[in-house]
Amino acid sequence: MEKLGAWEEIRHALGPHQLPRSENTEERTLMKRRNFLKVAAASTATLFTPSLVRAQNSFPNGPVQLIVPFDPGGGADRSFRLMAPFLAQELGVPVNVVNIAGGGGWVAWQQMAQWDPERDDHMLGTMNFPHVFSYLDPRMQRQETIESFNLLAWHSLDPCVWCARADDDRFNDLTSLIEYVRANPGDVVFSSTAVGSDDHMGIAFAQKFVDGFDVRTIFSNGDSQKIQEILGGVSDVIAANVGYMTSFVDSGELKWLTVLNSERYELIPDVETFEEVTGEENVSFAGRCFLVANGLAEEKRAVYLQAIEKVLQNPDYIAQEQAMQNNLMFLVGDEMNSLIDQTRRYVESVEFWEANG
Amino acid sequence: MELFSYVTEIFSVFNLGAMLLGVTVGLVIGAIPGLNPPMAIALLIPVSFQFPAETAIILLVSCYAAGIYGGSFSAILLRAPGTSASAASAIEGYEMTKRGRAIEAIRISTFASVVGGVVSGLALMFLAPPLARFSLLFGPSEFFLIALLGLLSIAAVSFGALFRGLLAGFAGLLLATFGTDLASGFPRYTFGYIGFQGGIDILPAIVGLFAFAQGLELISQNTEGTISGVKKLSWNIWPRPSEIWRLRWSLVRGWVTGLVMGIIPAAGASVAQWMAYAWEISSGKPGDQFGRGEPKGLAATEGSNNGVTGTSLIPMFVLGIPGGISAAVIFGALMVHGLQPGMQLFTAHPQVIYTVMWGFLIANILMAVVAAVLARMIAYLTLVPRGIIGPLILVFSVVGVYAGTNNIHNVWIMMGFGVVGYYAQRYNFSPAAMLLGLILGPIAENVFRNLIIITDNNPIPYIMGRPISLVIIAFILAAIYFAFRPKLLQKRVPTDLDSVEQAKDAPEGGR
Repeated sequence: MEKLGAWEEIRHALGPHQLPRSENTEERTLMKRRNFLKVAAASTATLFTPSLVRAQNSFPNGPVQLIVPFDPGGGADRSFRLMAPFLAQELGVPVNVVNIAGGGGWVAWQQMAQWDPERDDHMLGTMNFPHVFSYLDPRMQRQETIESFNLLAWHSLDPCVWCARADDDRFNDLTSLIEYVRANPGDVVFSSTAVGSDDHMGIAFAQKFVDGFDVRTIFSNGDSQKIQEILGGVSDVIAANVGYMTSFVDSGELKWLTVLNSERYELIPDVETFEEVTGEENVSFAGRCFLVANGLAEEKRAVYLQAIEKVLQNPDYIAQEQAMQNNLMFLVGDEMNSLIDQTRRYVESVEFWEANG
Repeated sequence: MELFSYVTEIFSVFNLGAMLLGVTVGLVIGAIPGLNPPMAIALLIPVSFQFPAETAIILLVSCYAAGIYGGSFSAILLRAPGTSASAASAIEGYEMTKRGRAIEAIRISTFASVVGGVVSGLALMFLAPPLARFSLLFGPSEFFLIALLGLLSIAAVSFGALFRGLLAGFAGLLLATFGTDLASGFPRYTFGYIGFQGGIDILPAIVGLFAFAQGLELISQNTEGTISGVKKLSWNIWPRPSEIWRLRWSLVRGWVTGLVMGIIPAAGASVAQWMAYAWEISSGKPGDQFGRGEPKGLAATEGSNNGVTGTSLIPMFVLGIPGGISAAVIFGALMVHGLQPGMQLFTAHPQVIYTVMWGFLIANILMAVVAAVLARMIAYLTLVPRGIIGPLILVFSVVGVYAGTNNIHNVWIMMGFGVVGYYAQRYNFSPAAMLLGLILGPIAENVFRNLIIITDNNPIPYIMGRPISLVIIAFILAAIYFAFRPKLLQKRVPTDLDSVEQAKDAPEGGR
């Protein structure tokens, strides 16, 4: 029966029209094979027939490059690779994910800021928040600011959380954590991603604005090392995002302490926000957004915007992102700008570049 | 046992087809310098969406195992390692090729890789939960000591020119500090150049130091001869029992190193191969010709990099901690299929995890079959005149690095390393030592600073209180002892190291 369970999930992911349900094993194998052929045929068709490409005068009239400023396999890459086929369907042209890694995202972003509205009209960029605000760090000496980009729409948002080992009885929530930290200054060790990351900024904010919040922080390149540290007892609290932590809390290894969101987060409604406990608005998250060339013609911009909106409402895409614990959030115009502005002000208030001199 | 009830699942046309696809893509992409296994896996992810979960993951793990092995083809035949996991094989492997023993080198590599992958797959099957718990015992102090142990390999890969090897290693460590610092966010040694801001990637460094430098070397010589100097290749792709018997301990040392290093997150195949190689050299006997095409060295490096493949999946499957980039990509694919990595994978979806484990095992065997066909085709490259193959390697290095990262700065950095690698090889400053510094520098630095923070500037008592740290310290002391031992041997039997030196001084040893 479990076999059928997994099969059922795939069927769901594929959409109801693609695969009739079948209970019989033999039939299922046949179905797998038939589906395999179908996939093979479809991918060949995508490669060799121009049917996907619309007439020359419509827009877009050729493949669209979806630029991901990080290496293949990372969170952003996985998410946008999931999205690409859906976006291709909406735009009517192939969408190729292109990774331009380097400089903490800036190799790609620097190019995006210089995109030509005519020549680069088939380029769709992506941007990560708060990472892009690393330009606020005077040591980086960056020329670009957020105004250098033609931001299109918000894609997803994953709030920061703090978790501890489930069997750690020194603290069960933020209140008891703060009490413990005040009673034992410098005793608690946080696992965080590098300085300037959303995870680090949440900690730096607390150190700056909460009295007696004297903790030590160790840094790593990514989530796996942090998990290794907390499960191995090297650190006491892990600063990460809801998406990655959920499975560890579900499996009983970790427990939630607080979520750094403006209000209670829908996926974990029982977890107190930082602001509820301390009165300080510590809101940090990993967010993603789309952008296009500066000065891109309004009608072309509208084509992208409409396609993105449709994909973000597509239940099949939403289901796939949910399987990866990714929380989609479609925002445009003023709503998006105010979130971006709020993020910028947060980074400016934390001044993470001052935190660990 | 539940495990065995899923063995039949694997022999469906569908699963075998996925394996064949994964293995072929992995071998080809792995063999091209600049394109690496994580990239191959990421490319296959969209294809895998359409498949049932177990088939999708089989596709990806097959690609992973084959990618690590495929990198060895170009390393052995052209001294242009296709992946970071096969750089060490470029040393002995290519020396063998130069002496007309290309097919023998491929035979050894195939046997060591396939059996290494199978052994690693068996460990994944039967020892996953206890090994995963073991991996959690590794903290900053253990990682730091492992990095130190790895850096000791510099002594081995310097082939007697220890001072020059150390200089190259220090240069590697220095270059490893380039880029934005994790713990302060400070952009170090960027010289205002955006290509340095994220630090220097290992990939362009390897392609430059080995492949590009090799291309330069080939075109700077007489362009008419071939690399191998032979006219015909033998067909025999599977080693003779006597060959295996002679290499048995080298193979075992390689496999053991791979299995252990696989479990340790962040270390992986790119570190394991050097440790296996250093171990092999230090247990060498008078008469062994390390640095001049010694099959023992190749057996160890090839055994270790594929020995990593199975066990490196253990922390990912059992704990949800992907130990390396490839594992992280497979981790993402599991999530896409609604499978949450972790112990619950074994209880909630046993059919997926056990079928995948069987798939991994069978894929390693299938790899030998595909390799038998592919290796021979690729081996013909060694019969092509240098004047053609040299420029081809240069072109592939540039295209590979650019295709892999879409970042032109990485191409410049690769070329820089290429020029450095060319002169380093010529004047006996081991490029391998520089690479070791680059790979291990960031690990050592990051964990050492974390160690200082968690121990309040007092790491020694902390390290002494951790049993695994003490074991690693014992290994370090043993490695130092064995590094000096050949010098004692040298006094009595003035053979191998001297001749290695002479071979290096001569511009083209085996022609």
